[in-house]
Amino acid sequence: MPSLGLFLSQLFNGLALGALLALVASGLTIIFGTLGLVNFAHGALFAFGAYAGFVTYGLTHSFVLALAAGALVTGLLGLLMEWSLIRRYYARPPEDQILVTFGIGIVIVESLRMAFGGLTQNVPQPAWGRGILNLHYFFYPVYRLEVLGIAALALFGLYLLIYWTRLGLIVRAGIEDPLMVRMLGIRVPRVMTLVFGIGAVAAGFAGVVYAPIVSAAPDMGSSVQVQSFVVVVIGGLGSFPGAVVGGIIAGEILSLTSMFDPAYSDVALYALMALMLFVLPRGLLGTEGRG
Amino acid sequence: MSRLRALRAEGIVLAVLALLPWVAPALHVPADVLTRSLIWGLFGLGFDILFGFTGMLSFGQAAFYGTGGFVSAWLLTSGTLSSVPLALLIGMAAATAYGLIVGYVSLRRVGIYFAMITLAFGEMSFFLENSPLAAWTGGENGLPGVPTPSLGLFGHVYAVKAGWPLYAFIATIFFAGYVVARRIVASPYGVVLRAIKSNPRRAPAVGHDAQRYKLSAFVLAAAYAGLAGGLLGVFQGYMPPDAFFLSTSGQLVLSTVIGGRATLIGPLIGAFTWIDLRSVLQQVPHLGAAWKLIFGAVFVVIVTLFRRGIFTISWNPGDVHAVGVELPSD
Amino acid sequence: MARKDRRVPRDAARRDFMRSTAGIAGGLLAAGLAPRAAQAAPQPLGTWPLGVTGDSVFVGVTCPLTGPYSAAGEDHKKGYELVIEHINSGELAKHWHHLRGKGVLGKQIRYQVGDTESVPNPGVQAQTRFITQDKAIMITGSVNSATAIAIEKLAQREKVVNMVGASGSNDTTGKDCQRYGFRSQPSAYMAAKALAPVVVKEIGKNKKVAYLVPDYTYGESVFDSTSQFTKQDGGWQIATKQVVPLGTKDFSSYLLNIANSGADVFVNVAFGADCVLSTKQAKQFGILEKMKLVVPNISPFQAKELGAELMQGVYGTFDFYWGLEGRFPLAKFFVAEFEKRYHYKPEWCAHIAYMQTMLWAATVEKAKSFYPVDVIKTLEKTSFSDTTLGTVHYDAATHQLVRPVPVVVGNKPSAMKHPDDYYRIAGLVPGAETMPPAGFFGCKLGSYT
Repeated sequence: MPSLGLFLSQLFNGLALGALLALVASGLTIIFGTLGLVNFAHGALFAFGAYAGFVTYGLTHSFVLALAAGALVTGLLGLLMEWSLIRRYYARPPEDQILVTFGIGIVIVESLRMAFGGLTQNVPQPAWGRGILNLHYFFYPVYRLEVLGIAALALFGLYLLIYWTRLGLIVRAGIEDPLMVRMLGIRVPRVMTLVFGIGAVAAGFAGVVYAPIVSAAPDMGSSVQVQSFVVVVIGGLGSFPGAVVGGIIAGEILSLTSMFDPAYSDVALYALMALMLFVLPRGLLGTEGRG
Repeated sequence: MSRLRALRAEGIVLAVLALLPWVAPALHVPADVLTRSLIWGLFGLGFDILFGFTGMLSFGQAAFYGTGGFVSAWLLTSGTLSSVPLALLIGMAAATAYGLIVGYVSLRRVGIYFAMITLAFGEMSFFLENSPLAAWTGGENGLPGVPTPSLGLFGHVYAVKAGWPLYAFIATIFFAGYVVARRIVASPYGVVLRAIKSNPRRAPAVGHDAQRYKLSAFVLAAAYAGLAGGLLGVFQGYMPPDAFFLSTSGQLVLSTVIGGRATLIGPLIGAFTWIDLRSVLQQVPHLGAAWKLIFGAVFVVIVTLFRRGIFTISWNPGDVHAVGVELPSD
Repeated sequence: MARKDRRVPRDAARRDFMRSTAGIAGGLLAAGLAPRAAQAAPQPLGTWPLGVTGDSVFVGVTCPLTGPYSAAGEDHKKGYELVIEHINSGELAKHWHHLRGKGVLGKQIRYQVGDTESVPNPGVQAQTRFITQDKAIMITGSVNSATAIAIEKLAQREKVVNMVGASGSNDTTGKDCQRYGFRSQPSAYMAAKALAPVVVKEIGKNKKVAYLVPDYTYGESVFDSTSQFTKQDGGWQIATKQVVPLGTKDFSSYLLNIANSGADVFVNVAFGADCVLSTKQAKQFGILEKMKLVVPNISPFQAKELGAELMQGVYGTFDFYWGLEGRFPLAKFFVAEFEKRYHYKPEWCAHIAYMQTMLWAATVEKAKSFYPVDVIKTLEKTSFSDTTLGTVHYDAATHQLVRPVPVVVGNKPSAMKHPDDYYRIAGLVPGAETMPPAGFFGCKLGSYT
């Protein structure tokens, strides 16, 4: 049996991992909830954010600015994606929507590869993130602890946006009844562009936050994307609380399984997803009638 | 479609496959590129039935490609079996069985969920191959040393050598797979599949158990994938773990859409395009890694503007394709 | 466009072959096959003689230009660029007496570099193309053992000589060894046998060790050999062994297991970007403060990426270090030429490319033939003097190069004499002392034809 210290540290690590996955998945779920579209370029946006952060850090040597710029630039890319291509797809079958985002994802990732090369790019930890914390039972890097806090704050920000603003009201109304929203005279196309941008911001922001841990690489988003898919399947696609709960569950499974045999940690995650599909096909907090 | 017209398409494919060994060298296309394309084409036949005709977009086909490939390769390299065709059949059967399980679970959700779930199962299969099953699959090493087939014909044993002989072996299998796929698509069963695609909600209403039809299409696609995977190992003398990669599933989707969905031959055309493009671009300095960027951009354009792929633009533009105009959700 | 240009010699080669088989001896003489003409001419084998009828020969090179090994792959590629230029121009022949004049047997070397993407399949795919399409007379290059072994088996099947690139696994010249494959990098066994006495002496006896092991043939090899020799020489025990998939980005859960294992020594077997990332993260988890770091096979650019602060006091081995320039004149030439052209000191992947190609060229010169059987037999019995590593030879039973193994330790930043002075050579262990007993890994080389 693993020691108490190891168990607690893995439990904690799972939380940190899960918070990040929750952030990525919430972007995915907001886009789906409002636009009815699964963004297969989400992992690419995650990587794009990390690179935007890397470039900003190189110019300014400020991690806070890197974080802001990474999120913002990725958001702009999201707006551009929606405005130029994605909006042409709302009337087309879901398969086509997946295909076009999948294709855009390839273009983004390969463009990053052309621009920066296949090598990983080092994004240093901010000065306030260096060092190790003694948490009595175990040691934990300060930065990873802060990642947990940053991700939680970002999720809270998204929550406020969705539940306490006019835009959020439209977004939630759009999830319930898109036709009614349109009939009320709300300029839906603009809202849709904005929502896609917000989803992209979540992915890009997470990318910058993660960059000091894993370094920026063109294909860094692919495993995150698959894991965030699992998160939304577990939590329920289109549900914001579902993304948070699903993210933490996924993080814990990845982390706790690795105590026994790391070879099985990813397998366990997918096995849980399969099990969920049997027990609760709509996910923990999924809404009825979707998909 | 009249019977004669049906045979015409098959005749053209047969003639092209048969003539290629004489035509291709003049065009500087090596047997290697063609054989590899045929394997992808066979892989794509099943996928096209699933996606092109039934409308189910799976991002996890690598799971079955890899399963068929590794089961066949393991049987041959471990000394359990010496007959390549038998090993291929068993690999195909294993992929089919695995397809039945994955399909049963994945089909609990349709549409958008289906693409995500199959993607996740594809990844799960990769991780299974990679670590827990590494004793059999070689993990990240894969299985080297897969033999080429020997065929017994009228008492003579003919060893199929790499190059054009192996091309002929794989082209024969591809053609058989193509004819079978054509028959399936043209049959009443195929009509139901298309009905499911053009209107997922109406098909069950007219009395077809859509779920069972979908599952059967999924299993069929897995069988084709398994056979193709087995052939990959035989062709290269090496079964790579790459067969299970996410990018393998993605590449199949790319080839099928670029070549043309619901054409059966489209995936082959698409695969040939990228394999050839890749090998040409690799010879140009600084452009080696660009093939995928170009391919991705072409893909976006095709998905947006030419919904039926490059193959059908030139071949049968008049054929009306049911355009599903649907709201993002109900 | 590039494609069209490349085809011309191929068609010309075919015509030449037709002529030569029709009995015109000129083609054969030009192809350097004269000694054979007197004997019964051998049957065509692999890409021979089709690949050698023109005035140039083709060498198929594969390097990981993308993926986790792309940094090493880029270095590897530069080594090939440099050596082929040096052979073609006759520059190397001026500094190394095993070569003569320009090219190999008077033929210029053409080559192409295929991207392995750091995984086996694209490498096999590219080399298959080089063999069938370009009639490559030799194939070479790889920066990982899974790729190296897959290519070695392809070489055996297609009967084309394979000068294996960077590959540290015991299997490459062990259970997966091939008659057509030759490897110059020290095997994991050799590296561990050279390293163990040094680390036991420096770190002490009876330590508990945590291993981070990448999940493929190389990782298992290094783990087996390192744990075996450190146990044998110093009674070191395994505290934990964490097996990680290739290309892992976030090592946190593995590192937590290591941090909690109570080990005194952290042996990081991961390679390339994986090693850099995992070491960086190990530092974040405070592991490097608690444990001594040993890297049995130090990756190219590792010190540059991690910085001297982190690499000081780290023990390890590798194929080649530019600091060997003081010991071998040819190493000095290689390092100087490389730096002149690429503006940094060569890493060891470049050295493997340089050395393997050079040894092959010298062998062909000595055999006076490209015929694979002649080349292999000559490689099996030749001792090459004055190389970049002094005198070396391939072990005839396993095709492992018997060569000295450098053991190094990371310099303190204050002890560095210039920016590239990352390591001090703690020992240069003679190759013969590090070789496994005959038959230890069960190598069976397979047939010549």
